[in-house]
Amino acid sequence: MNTNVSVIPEFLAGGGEMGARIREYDWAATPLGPVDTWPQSLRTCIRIMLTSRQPIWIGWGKELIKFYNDPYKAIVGGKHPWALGSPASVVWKDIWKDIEPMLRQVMQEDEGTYVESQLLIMERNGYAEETYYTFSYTPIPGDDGGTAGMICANVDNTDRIISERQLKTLTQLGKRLAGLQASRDVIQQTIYTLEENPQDFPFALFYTVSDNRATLVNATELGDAAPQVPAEIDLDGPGLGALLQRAALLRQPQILEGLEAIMGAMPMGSWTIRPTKAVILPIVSATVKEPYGFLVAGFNPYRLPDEKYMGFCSLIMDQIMSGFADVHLLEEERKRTAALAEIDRAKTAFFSNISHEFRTPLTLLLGPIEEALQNPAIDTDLKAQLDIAYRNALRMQKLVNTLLEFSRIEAERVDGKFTRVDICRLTVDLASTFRSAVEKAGMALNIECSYTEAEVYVDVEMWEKIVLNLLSNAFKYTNQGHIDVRVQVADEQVLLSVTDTGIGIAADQLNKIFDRFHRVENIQGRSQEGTGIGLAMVKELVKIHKGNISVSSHPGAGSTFTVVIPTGKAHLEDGRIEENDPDTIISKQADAFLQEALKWLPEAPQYEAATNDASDPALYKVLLADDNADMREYVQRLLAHQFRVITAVNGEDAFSKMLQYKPDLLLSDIMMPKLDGFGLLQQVRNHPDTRHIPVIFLSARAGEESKVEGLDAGADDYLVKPFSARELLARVEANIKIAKSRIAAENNVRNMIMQSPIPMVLLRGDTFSIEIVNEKALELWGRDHENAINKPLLEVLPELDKQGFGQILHEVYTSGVPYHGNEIPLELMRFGKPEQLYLNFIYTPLRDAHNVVTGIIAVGVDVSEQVIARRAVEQNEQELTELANAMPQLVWVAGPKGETVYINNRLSQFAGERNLQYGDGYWGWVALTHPQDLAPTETAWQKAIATGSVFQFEHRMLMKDGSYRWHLSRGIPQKDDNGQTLKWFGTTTDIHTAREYAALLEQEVKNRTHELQELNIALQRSNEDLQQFAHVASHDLKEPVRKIKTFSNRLQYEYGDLLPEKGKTFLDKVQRATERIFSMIEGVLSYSTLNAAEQEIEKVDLNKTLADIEEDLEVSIQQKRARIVRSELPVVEGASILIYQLFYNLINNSLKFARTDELPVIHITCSTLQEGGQDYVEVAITDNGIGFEQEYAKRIFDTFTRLNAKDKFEGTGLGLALCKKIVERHHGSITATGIRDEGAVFTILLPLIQIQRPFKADSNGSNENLFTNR
Amino acid sequence: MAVTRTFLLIDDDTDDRELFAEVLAAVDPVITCKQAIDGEEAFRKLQKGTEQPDIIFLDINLPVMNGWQFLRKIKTADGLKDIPVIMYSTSSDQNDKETANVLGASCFLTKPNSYKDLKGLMEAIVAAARQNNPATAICKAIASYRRSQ
Repeated sequence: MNTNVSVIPEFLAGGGEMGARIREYDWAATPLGPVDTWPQSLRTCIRIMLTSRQPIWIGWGKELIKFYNDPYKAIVGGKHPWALGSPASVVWKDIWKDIEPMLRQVMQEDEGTYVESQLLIMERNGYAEETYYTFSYTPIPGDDGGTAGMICANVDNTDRIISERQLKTLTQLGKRLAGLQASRDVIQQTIYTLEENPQDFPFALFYTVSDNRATLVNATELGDAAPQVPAEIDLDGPGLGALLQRAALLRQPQILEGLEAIMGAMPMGSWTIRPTKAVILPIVSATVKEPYGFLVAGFNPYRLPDEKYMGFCSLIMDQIMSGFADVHLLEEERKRTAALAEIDRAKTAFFSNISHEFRTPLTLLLGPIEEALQNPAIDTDLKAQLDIAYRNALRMQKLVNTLLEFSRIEAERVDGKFTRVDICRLTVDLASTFRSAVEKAGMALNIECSYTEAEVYVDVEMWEKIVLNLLSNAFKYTNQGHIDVRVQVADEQVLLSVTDTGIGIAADQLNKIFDRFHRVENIQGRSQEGTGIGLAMVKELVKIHKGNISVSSHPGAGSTFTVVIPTGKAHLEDGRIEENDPDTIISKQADAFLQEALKWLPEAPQYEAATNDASDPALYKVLLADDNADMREYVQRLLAHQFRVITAVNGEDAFSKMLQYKPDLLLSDIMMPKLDGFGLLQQVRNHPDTRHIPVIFLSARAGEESKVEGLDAGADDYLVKPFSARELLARVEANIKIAKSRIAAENNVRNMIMQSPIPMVLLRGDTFSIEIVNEKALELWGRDHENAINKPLLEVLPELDKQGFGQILHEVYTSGVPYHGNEIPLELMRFGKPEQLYLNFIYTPLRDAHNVVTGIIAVGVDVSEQVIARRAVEQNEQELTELANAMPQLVWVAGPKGETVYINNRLSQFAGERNLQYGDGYWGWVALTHPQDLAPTETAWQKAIATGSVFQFEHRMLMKDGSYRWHLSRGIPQKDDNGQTLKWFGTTTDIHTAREYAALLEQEVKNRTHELQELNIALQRSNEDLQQFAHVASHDLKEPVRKIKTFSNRLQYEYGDLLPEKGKTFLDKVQRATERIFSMIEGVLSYSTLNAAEQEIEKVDLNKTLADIEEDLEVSIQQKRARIVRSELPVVEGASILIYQLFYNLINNSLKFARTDELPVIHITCSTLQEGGQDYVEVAITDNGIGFEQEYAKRIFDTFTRLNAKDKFEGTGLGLALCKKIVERHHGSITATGIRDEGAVFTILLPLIQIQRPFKADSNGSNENLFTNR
Repeated sequence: MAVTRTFLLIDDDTDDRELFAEVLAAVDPVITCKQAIDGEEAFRKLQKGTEQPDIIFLDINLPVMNGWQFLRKIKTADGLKDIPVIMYSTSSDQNDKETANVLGASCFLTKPNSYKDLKGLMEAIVAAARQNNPATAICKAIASYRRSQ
């Protein structure tokens, strides 16, 4: 051994650049001395350091001579490489005073220490970067036991520190921007928050935009830089303006490079260098095109604007934008509220004005009526009418007064005049006025008041309204039971409650009941009349008393309204109290409430008009339905002279009277208790007995909309209150006349249908209810009248719908277009049996006076017999034609004079177009016959016609392809009893083949030879195509399979732990199956490549080939703990890739099929031999694997042959086939012998020299295609 | 120290592109992965571009201009021919590997079959990308990774 060459000690091996530097360093010149004198602990530490991927440095000896590894180079930065071997105090001169105490602690006290997340500006990736490291100093004992050095390991915390900092900024921003009221605040808070993160945002400027100019409105502390910052930026301008514009358009942050050139030296934030870039964040609303503003923020000089940083900026931008959006929403809301309040005021003013306008004419109405009524000479009949007028004028006055009062309260112009009252007496007196009405309705009124001397102040008029409204309300919505009024004084409060046993209020209506104009829909009160402001006013009145009102209710069981007001007068303004009037008198308003309530009671008999001449049968009957007695009386009086009037008090009553009296017209109010006008109309229209009765609606609901609603619902006419007597009479009369003529018309239709000799039916409505049906139709259907009339057609004949008739009916009904059906097959269940019919039918839409389709008239004729008979004939003809067409000959029929009357479709085989015109008795055979044969043929035919004898002749005819073919024509005459020819039946048969058989045969042989040659070429081409296909297909197959593998592997890798056991098994199965497909494709690929590719012949050293294979199979060899023993092998000629594949497959095969109970051993031996003047090498590969039965020795080389279950042994079934192919390509051979469970021997014979060179892919002769069946 | 900042991946398969970029980002967030879906697009961008990629990963089967055409083109283009190209294809065909070699690709990386492999390979690639001659280092790293499997 040469002593001059120093041996590299093992602990210094590897370690990249630093490993090399440490090895090359002249340590003898340092206090550490030569390497071989180094203590064991230093060696161990250096070994650890060099192999670690974590940045580590070691200081050794008193001076802490520095060692470090490759990852540490970034930390030591510019001091690399001289820092190696230098004392720590020199290397870290700049921070020595910070770290020296720590190092001393380590070295002298043998105690470790560490520094967490130290900021280090490092150039790790080619730029100065903000990084954070946590590092620890650990003492290392020397061989003598004392501390001889230290080791320092560093951990990179950069990502964590930066992420935490950014998260904090985002969280703060989110918190601060929430719920702000003004845009100014959003900007202020944004700037304030960004100022707290001077690392990422050294400065921040906020610009708002108007008229395409951005104006600086807020900024972080700018110091000296303040004057440089542009106060305004023109967005249409170049440079910065264009960049802002771009940011706004893209709605994405933009980077401003070269900051210093544009704005000068900007604040540094927490750094010691200035930012060179800024980020521009556009603040753009999702809906408005012009940006609200821009945030321009300085960029951290120690970071790149990478995805992470930009992502962070985008989040900041989103936060600010949502802050603005919130503020915007708030402002919109404020504006809306103001607008609503304005509308409200306008409405109240309107009510106030309109009510005043009403009062004047009302007063002028009431005065004269009162006077007239007081005239003793007045006639009774007239008095009754005047009474009605008076009562209703009073009612109207009350409504107007209520409205006026209410609008005054709303406008806050009512303050009340409060006097001290005996609240008990006042309330009891008021409530008692309702007693008569309540008892008349068969209910009880209980009034309860504990006598009290409490000091209670109320505005008497208002209190009256409160009590009367509540009572009136209770009475209106209570049909039976009792109403309880109770007054209590307790805890310095007066408590008034009104409880009823009425219909109650649904829970969802409770909180709306005190709203103005709110009316609970569809409830069964005594009346539908009302203004909808009673309870709202009560609420306001209670409020003026500084009290409150509440309601509780159980639908169906009753409601309780409770009013609470304070006692005493402390809560009232002094100026509103009038002490001097302790006595109160119940005012006139109680009477108005009572009068109204009484009218809600059923039929006051005194108003039943005596003029009702309901018994005259000659008059038309009109049913009048209205819940208002006065209205009933008025209308009845108007109609009584011309009509017989029947009255009903609500919808239900009306309907039962409709059925009872069958009136000629119904005149109905819309708003009625129990069943309203629309409900009544629907019932009337749905009942066959009342369907045709005309209906006129009467309603106070004016306006086009309700009119349309009424007519849409099916009313014939609509009268709006108030109406004149003349108008009413005219409309009633007209509608009755129209109805009568309609009924007459319908009767005509009925008669026509009933008497029709063909089946006819009238279907009404979209249910196709059978309104009229005649006997013929019932007969056709096989149904009787009783089971059909007034029932939907599709119920009576359910089989129709299934056969598509239902849909036709619906189409006719909705489109209004008639439908004609011809010979439509129909299967009917007639008298319980299915029967096939054919129908001709027409569905005609039936329209009413408004041209709306209301039904369908169906007329049908049973044409089954005709159809069946005709079909039989048609079928017969069809069969004959088919028979004729099935014959290989031309079949023809000719008339007695030889004119053709029929010819089968073999005619298409012949030439020309003339022959198609056989309809006129001439199909052109003359033109088709060979000129040489024409004359004799015609002679023979004419002769046959003349003699009536059988015609037979051979002649050539022109075929479609232009050739002449020999034909035998033969015709037989059909004769009548007199022997006269009626028809000729004939055939023309192609006998060309027979005639020209010999010539043909000869030609055939020639053709066949030619065809075979072509086939051969085609085969060759197709073979190449197939190979190309296999190659391409395998490539394309590989793509998706590789993806399945990748993603299933990823699934296992990332989510494997989450899967249940079963899931893991499934995934495992997927992966194994995919693995197999993949290997299979690989196999197919190499197999097909083998055929296609042209391979260069070269010298192949089998020793090297096998060495390569062993290296490539290293993993598998190690796994199976296999041993390969090989003798020296020769150099052969061949394609190196193929030879490699050959041995690779064989050895891989041996490894794959190894026995589990024995370690695999593969012997490779060889010998050379001579055969046919050529040198061969014989290579034997012997293994001790599972072997195979000898009978399979040949088959195992076939493609896709597998001897073993695929779940036990992997394999594609292509490996050995490939081997065989490769060997044969090299003009060698391969054989296999095996013994089951003992092993196999594969023997390859290869020529040492390839004589044909270069050898090519298989030529057509020896080509074995992958896809050829064998 | 030579720093590899940018890879360009030319591949028309969206899954493969995403997977490559995703795994790269997970392994090393500093290296950016630019992407192109065919040779023509890539070549156009490279001709225009100022920030050239440090290494190109190139698929073979590409629309418009396939990998071979692209390779031929870039290897004769002034200013671009020195950008190392690593083939990145599903193929494991020996012929393809030879073609790549002849046309001047640095090496041939058959797309890995499993996510784990891809991750392992990417780790090796990224580590090698930091070295002085990144393309050579990456090719070596790929080869040694393959051997270790």
